[in-house]
Amino acid sequence: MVNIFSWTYTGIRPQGLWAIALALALGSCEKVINIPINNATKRMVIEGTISDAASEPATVRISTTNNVTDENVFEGVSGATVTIQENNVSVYTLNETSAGVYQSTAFTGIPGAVYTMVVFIGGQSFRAVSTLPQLVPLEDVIIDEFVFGSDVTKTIIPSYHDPAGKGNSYRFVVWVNGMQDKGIYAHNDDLSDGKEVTRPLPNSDNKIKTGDSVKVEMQCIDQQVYDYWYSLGESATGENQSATPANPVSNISGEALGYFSAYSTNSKTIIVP
Amino acid sequence: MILIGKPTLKWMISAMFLFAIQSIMAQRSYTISGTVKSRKTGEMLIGSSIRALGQNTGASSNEYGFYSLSLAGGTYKLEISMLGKITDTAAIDLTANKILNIFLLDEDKSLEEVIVRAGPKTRSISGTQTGFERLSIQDIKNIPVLFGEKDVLKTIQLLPGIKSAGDGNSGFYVRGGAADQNQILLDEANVYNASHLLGFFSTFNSDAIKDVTVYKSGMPAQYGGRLSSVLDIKMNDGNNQDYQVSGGIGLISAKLNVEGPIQKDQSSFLLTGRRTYADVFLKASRDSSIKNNTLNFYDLNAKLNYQLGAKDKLYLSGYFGKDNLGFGDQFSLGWGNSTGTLRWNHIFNSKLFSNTSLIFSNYNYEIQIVSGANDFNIFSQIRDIHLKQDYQLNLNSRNNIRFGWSSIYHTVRPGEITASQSSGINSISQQKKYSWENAVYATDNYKLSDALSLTYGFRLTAFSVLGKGDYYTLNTDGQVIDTTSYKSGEVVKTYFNLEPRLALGYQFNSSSSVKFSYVRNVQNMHLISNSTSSSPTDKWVSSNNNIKPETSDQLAVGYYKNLWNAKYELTLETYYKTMDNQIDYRDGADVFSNETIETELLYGKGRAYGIEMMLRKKFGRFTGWASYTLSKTERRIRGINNDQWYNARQDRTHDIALVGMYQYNKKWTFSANWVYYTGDAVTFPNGKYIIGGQTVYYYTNRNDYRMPSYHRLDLGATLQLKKRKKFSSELAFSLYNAYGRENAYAITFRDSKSEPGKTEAVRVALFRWIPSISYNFKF
Repeated sequence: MVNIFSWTYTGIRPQGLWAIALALALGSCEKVINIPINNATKRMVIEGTISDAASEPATVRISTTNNVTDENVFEGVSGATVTIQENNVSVYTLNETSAGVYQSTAFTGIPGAVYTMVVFIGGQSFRAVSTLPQLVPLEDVIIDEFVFGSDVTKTIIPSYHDPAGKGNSYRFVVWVNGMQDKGIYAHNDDLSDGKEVTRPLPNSDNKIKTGDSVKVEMQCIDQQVYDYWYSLGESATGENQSATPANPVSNISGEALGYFSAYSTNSKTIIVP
Repeated sequence: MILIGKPTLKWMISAMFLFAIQSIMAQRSYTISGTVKSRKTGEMLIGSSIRALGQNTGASSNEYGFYSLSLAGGTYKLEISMLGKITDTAAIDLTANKILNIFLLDEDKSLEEVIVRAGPKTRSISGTQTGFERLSIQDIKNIPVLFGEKDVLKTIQLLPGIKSAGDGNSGFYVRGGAADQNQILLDEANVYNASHLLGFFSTFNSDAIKDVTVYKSGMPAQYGGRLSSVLDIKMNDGNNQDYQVSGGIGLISAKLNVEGPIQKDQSSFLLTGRRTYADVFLKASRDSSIKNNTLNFYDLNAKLNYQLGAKDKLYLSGYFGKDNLGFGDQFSLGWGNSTGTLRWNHIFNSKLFSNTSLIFSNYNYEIQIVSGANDFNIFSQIRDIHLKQDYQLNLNSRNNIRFGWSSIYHTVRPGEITASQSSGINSISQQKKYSWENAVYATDNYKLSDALSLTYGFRLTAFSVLGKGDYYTLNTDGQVIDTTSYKSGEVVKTYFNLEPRLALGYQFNSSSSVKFSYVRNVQNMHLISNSTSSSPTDKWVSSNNNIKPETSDQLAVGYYKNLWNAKYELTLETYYKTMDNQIDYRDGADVFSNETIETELLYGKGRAYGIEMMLRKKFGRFTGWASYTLSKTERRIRGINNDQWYNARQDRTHDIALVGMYQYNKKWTFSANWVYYTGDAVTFPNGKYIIGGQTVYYYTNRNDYRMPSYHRLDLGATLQLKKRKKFSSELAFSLYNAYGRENAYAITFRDSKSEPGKTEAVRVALFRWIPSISYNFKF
């Protein structure tokens, strides 16, 4: 029952609605509390991306997990050997440009190509494969309003034409006035194969206002990467209570968190009317 | 099967024959039989006790008020008793089989009398039944509840071993079982979703309910189909003496009940309705965006009964309920159950009672969503047609046999999406699933001696998955490698399961006994939910070639004692239960839009054990109980938590409930209940990391943290208003969560708002105190 309510402007599930109704009627309360949390052994986190945009270098970020009580910092891991192979043919090495960030501008992703990321570090190796899908154009981005009492919610609606045949998956990334929105927007065509799709992106944190600049990036991703983002949104953001919390389903083999995504991308920027 | 190896069907049937024949050869005896009814309303009385004084034999009236008692020829004084009724006696001279219909008078509420009178012998001492509790509506009438809405489902959660799923969560957990492992029956019809308003209320309008029986272990063989418990709810038959109207108006709902005779003493009808009107207040708003929201539910119960002659009686009962939840023109969600039961009681002779039931049960939900150009509608349904035959044979003074069969045809429509052409969604219809669930059963309640009783028997089930439809072959990673299409009516797979039933009871004396039971249960309809809280849109699936029947084996031992002249009743029970083929879902599963739901599932085992104690006072000005449960519930699912055992979400170490009602004078009754339980087992992050510039949480072991412990005090008071000749009315006040404890509904983790760069844990509490008032009347 997951997807369906995300088609609404607010993305609210029935439980959420009832909780809101109750909160309105009786008042609910939120309180920051102290919970003693155990510290787990650190684990490797790998985030690898290669896109068809020449302006975006192939990037692999390697870090480790932190304790929950630590600062939210990127604990870069240096000294890894990182390669990306294209179609089992050309092998490109990514060089460390800052602590834990490995990049290469020697190549740009090609739609239809299969990319294999291999990371060697401290005697361990991690491998992931991702196929770069054909680009599906982002046709338009509009803003629609949803009114609840005195509350007006402006919702971003991208539109695109899903190609016929199941298996297309997308990830949307939203920036409002240059700040990335925290929402995880992973869509697939299970329910909308071959359709003109106008599925809203109910933005999670900051409300958008007239005059804001909204940039929407649409990434065409493969099935495994969709599974990663979908499961991340369902169960690893710390906030979503709909599913039992769990680590996202990764396409990286070996004991690493994270993902490797080859994607095609296009974006549009609008000013909120 | 821990104790008696692997008993075969043959073994059990031979035993039954042996015991029966042995008893037939015993001395010549006669049978006295009849029905027990209320003098005032003509309602059949369930579970009244009929005893021959001085003899250690007795019977109790069955769910249709029928009893049958075999005694050696002679002169006896019979004592007929029931809680809330005045005990009656009858002298009989038994020289032949005899019919004796009994009418009991309601207990006079004048207090003095109640205090001195010792109660009837309680059923929990005698017999072999463990893990069982019976509540009449009288018992729960004064217990304070949310919004003053009397609710059997909420009240049973105050009993030991039955755990609430928490505020704002439907469902309850019995002895470590999941919420879908409870069989909830309303006049024998299965109720698939017993909750209203996402769990705050149950579908059972207490005005229409006569009696509730809960079985936590040793379920009698006539019940089957769920692992953890049976909750058997019986509707009132309707007053066949006089017309009666009663009703109530509360803060959020209004109720009306009309009943009366069709033919005096012979037949009657009952009609009960309830509707909430919380959204009526929304309508008062001038703002159209608020006005257009809906939040309501209603229930309708109806029953007719008709006496066809001295030996035949027909009952027709129905329930219809629906919830509506609408959020502007954005979406609406409606769900509801409807059930219908047609029953025919036939008394063959003083020893053999038969009931035939034709039962219909339906649950469905419908969602409508409009967002911009997207408008679509989702429909899902589960529907059962059920034919059942039950015989109760009082073979002789030692053997009471019950046998019969049951056949259910299930049709599941997992999900159908209808979308307009302009919508970004396709119209999709997932395949309907068909299955046929058959069972035969027999048990013998065998009185070995005055002190020792044995119940043994079996239930044999055959569950057939039928075409038409596509069924899949999966590889070990759960991916589809082959699809087989079956034609309409073709058998895809049949599962046979034998469920032994065994129970022993030993009565030390008139006030204490010990009992033992073993039961195996099988479940073929499974509720698949990938959320931590249940939702009306959770999916029912049947066993199929990939999903195996769930099974459980439970051993229970209990000690029962009446204290202080039977004013107090002490119950101690302990159980150990193992569960197989338990179902969970893969991480990141999307159980809704996936046609091949099997690919999203994981399987494993469960185990649960615990001790339950209850001290109950049933008579006097002050009544109530104290219950305590110490328990453990674990799961081991292949593919979850590194295949290691972990605490089930409903694992709670301690569970305490104190319930008290005090009749201060003829006008005022006060009540209070307090509950305390260990917080649910939950998963919290053990680390965090950055992905895509955002904080993502890292989880290690499943459910190795605890929510804060939950406790709550509720208070209630009932004021009896001036009684006129036929009219009586009362005001009921209640205060839910009296000391305003902020019990955690959820705990979430997020980037700190006050200390940027840090993580904070946030507790969400739903509500603090909720006062309510309601007015009830009767004439």
